Amino acid sequence: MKLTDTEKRMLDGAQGEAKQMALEILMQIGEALEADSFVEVSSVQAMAHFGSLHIAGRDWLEKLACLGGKCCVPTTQDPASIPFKCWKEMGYDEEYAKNQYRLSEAILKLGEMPKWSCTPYYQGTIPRVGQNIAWAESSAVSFANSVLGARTNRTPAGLAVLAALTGRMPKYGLYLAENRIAQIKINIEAGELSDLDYNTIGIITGKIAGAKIPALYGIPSSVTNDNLKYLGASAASSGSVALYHADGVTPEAILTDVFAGKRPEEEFVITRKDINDEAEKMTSQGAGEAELAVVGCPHYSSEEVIKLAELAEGKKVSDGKAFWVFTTAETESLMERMGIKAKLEEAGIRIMAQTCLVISPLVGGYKNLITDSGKFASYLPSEHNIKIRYARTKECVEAVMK
Amino acid sequence: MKQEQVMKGRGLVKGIAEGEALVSTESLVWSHGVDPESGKVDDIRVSICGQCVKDKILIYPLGKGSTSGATWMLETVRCGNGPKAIVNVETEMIIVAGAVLSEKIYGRNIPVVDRTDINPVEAIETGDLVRVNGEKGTVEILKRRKEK
Repeated sequence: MKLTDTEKRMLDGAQGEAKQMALEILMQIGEALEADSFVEVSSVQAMAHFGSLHIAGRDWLEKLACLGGKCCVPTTQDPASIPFKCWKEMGYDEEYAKNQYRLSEAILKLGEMPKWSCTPYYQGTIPRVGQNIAWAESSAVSFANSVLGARTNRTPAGLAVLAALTGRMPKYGLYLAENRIAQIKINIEAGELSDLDYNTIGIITGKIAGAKIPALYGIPSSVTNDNLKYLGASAASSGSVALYHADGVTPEAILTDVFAGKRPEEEFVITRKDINDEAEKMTSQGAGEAELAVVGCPHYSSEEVIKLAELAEGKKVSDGKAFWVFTTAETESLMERMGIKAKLEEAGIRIMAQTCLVISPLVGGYKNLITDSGKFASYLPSEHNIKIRYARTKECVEAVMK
Repeated sequence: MKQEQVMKGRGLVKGIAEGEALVSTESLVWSHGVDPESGKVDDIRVSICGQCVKDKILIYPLGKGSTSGATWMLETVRCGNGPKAIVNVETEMIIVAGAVLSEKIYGRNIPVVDRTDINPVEAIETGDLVRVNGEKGTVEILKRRKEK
């Protein structure tokens, strides 16, 4: 690999052992992937949740912190594996929580910003079109590449932190313009689309595309960022879509010819019937009456929490049932200032800030869940051995509230 | 040794390993797909579900899955249950990262080879004795489990 003078100095060890080791590892990986140089990255989304990092990942972050490693670009991380404010009262395992707290300490030493969210793009990390970043978290990778037009690969956990320490990643994959060209074309011919439909379209897109880059036609320009957040998260969970283009909507589709003059390898159509059929399949067979509603995968935006509060107005969570909203500490704080948090609590809805059910234990012994998220519906049944019902937010409210 | 039993591909992680093959016809996802503490595959969608990856030459189509796969693999190695080598039709960075970190942190070398000229999932059977050379990017069948 061709190195700049700055990178050579990092390798010399003059800037500390952590940085040296980090660049050595990135170089080894770059050489394996036949990258000719590094790109400079402007932000990093890392991972520090015990549910995926385990003891090995914990020891790794502690080691880097101990060697004096410091982030040199703004660095955030995925949700934690416990809700920091209420894990004890909810009955999370103490040993497990201790490990999460050790990871929390390590990332503070490393200089990460403890936002603990899968939606860093809603919490002040906003990369520009064409900017190189190193993000982990498949849904955030999809949003950054597709909706923002920034450039990142699906950065592996354990490696993202090395990008944070060095500000570098090997130049390969989606950092290169020629690898961002659409390969398949998907026409959406389904009339008006609901919020839930965007999740379902994402699930279908992931199944069709696998790891290929799809170009979607038929998404209206009135689509919200939240709709696109769900589309990308769902497509990354049913397939490994790291980038999609949407005609007239996403920046690269507006600024460039996404097929670069070539013909799509294949063309597909998604109809209203396809969406309805897929939505039906996403509810587990034999799903019973929902005991727990879970929303906020990816993390609910402030707009969504406000909308939920409106839907829940005048209702209360039924005895023996529960409603959890996964969101950020920033949104929780805003809801507090708006008086909405108090209303939600009064209605029995619990705000689960800075955590996520995909990467944490499910406490409370619930067996039947309901969700408005395609990604939750994809992962939770196998992850927690539960049955899931996939439905609109309004139906989630009606299922567990009276 | 017959010629077709040496496959030539891309050596992604250096090192040489010899051992018994464990072949999955479905792609293996490390996160939530392998239990680090037992080394057993616990994804019911995979044909080798229930089998242990420990000290095996692990062969499967695509090295894909969640970005947290690298640390799942690392934890499996920490628990002493890591595979001897990995051979894929096509490998993603997640697997390369897992292998490189395993060597750096736990001193466990796991050669990784992909893009071989013969499909390893079809050519190799579970139980075959296989040698993987990460420098040359070759995969060699040393001995068949069943003589044909």
